[in-house]
Amino acid sequence: MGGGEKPLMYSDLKQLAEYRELLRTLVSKDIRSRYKGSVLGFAWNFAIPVLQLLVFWLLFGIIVKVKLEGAYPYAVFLFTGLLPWNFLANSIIGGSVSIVGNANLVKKIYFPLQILPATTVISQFISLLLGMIVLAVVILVFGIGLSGYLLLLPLVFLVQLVFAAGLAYLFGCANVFFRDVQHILGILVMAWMYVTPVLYPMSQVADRTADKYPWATTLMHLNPMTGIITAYQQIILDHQPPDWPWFGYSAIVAVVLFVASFSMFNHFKFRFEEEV
Amino acid sequence: MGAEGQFQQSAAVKVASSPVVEVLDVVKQYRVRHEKGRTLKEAFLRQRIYQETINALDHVTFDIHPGKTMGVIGRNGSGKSTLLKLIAGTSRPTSGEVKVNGRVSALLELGAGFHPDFSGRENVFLDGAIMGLSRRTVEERFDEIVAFAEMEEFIDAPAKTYSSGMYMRLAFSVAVSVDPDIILIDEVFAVGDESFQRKCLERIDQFKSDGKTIVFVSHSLDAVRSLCDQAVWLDRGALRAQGGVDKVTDYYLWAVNEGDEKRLSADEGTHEDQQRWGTRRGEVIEVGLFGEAEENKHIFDTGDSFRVRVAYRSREEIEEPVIGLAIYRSDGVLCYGCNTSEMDRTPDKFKGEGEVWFEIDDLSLLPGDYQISVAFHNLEQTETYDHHDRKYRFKVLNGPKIEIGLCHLSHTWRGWQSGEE
Repeated sequence: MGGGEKPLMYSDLKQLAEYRELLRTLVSKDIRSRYKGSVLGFAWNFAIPVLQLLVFWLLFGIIVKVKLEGAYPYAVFLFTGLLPWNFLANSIIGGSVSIVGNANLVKKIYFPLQILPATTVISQFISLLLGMIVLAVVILVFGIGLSGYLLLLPLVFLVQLVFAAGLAYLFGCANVFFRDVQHILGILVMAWMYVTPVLYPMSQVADRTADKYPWATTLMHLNPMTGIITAYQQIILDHQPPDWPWFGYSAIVAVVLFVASFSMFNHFKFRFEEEV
Repeated sequence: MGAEGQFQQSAAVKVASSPVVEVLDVVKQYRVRHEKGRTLKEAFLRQRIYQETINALDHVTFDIHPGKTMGVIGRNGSGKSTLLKLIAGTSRPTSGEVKVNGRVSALLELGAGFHPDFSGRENVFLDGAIMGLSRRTVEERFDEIVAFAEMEEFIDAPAKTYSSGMYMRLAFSVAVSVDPDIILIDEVFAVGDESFQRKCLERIDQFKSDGKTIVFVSHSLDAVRSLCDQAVWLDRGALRAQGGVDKVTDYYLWAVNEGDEKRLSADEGTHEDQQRWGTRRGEVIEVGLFGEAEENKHIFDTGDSFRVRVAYRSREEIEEPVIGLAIYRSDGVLCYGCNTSEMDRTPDKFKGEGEVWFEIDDLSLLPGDYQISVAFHNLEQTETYDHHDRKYRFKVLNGPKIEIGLCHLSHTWRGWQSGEE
């Protein structure tokens, strides 16, 4: 990763910018084809998060009553964490098959292949933004209110976008050479969710482990997704700024991962045509 | 002013003559595995056992100059498609270099970017974007694209409702609407009906007259001859010949005729091509089989009268024409062959139309299925005008009861009765 690699990544990024029109077309194709042929069509992008929230609310608000310290229902907490988590999970799994799933294009038509994982990640990111619209309505309905810290949200989006892209490039490339990747990822992503504070708040972990295992929260924060998911929860639900040191750590990991896997991807991309 | 003009002109000449495609000592190796989709276990345990490398291209060097139409010939697996992929940029050489100066449009995989759920209209934009056209350019050329494909009525229907012909026509239209400097064509003439095929050829001719550079891969030597000025012949990844299209295709045919690549004609090409080749400076226009009196007879008995009429013509003057004829049994055994050079008088030069007869009074072939080849070539056999390989069939049904084998040989038996006496 010396200075010698810098111009290489520069030209690969520049290519991505030059082909932005193709990128845009592919993203729009991806989003529109997702619910093509269904009656609701584009409305599914909103219907799915709404239905998801409804299930959480029934399950945890009515049937099994789970209470949190904060002034919001558990269902809303869960929804706030799950939206960005789904963005990550879908980017990783979609990114891993973005090359092998487009063998026809990869083999026959010349275009910068770094467009393919980017297409997946951006299209999933747009789903996240649509989900955020639903979340905004929910927040207002439950009287949680808005705060000035919401202005920090784009920063959190950016960090997560870079992190998700890093993973999409990593696994997209790896899956070309080892098809095991796409099968193992489903399990890994699920396990990863359980060690990330999506289903439970970080404050509970701190409360329960402070006496016996004071290092437990530190350990959990080493997972870069912890800093990102808690940032969403803090900004949106608690009206607080993110936990800067840990969020900064996540940002650094995201950038380093992206640089490494984007470079790796572009190094190997000329062999994809033979392998897919 | 005058000097400046001159300078510019010479610079322009220089630019025009520098190649648009340079293939420099290119080697492309592929790792061949016995099973696709490698797993981690294989990667660690079996890699060495299962991998072997093949050279799809083996130290190939040639140039293509602007405005030229280059044909690439060679049999299946000779590296033709690999070469196109390298020029298109989807693949990189293992060693050596491929330099391309200009925008490439590949008519390799038509409609690769199509999505069946989208309408024809949306697919034109999608495929156009993948082929490198901006949205605005597609908008400008949209009507032209649709008109060329003759798809005005169906353009808003989903692509999955299209017939395969409609699908390919639309895809071809998008592909040729790209305004490329270099066009790669890999036998896409099987697109649509005859009138559309003619339109495609016209479009390609138009590319030629616009001064575009074309690389054309085909099994059909006729197509290569009629479209290209130059050709390269790839043989198992190696460059066997390059140069003017006539020179290269003649050499290729010569090698075929020499039996150097015997399987070639059997391996590939359409049925029509497989049975016919030649420079066509002279043509065999009709071959008919006759019995004693009847025309177009196809079933004979051993001992029958057997006659073959070969009608030929030549639009230009050809030297020392010879008609040859060979009879094969259906399993490929050459039974007999000869040619008109054994006749007392053969013309030195020929132009126009004529016919020769090959006549056997007493057919000695035993029952079986047979095929006839007719060849029209010059006396030294350096040029084949027209060769119809095993194109004509006949059957021998009833023969002498006790004889077996290929043909009846005149014979007598002696000595049996003299033993005891």
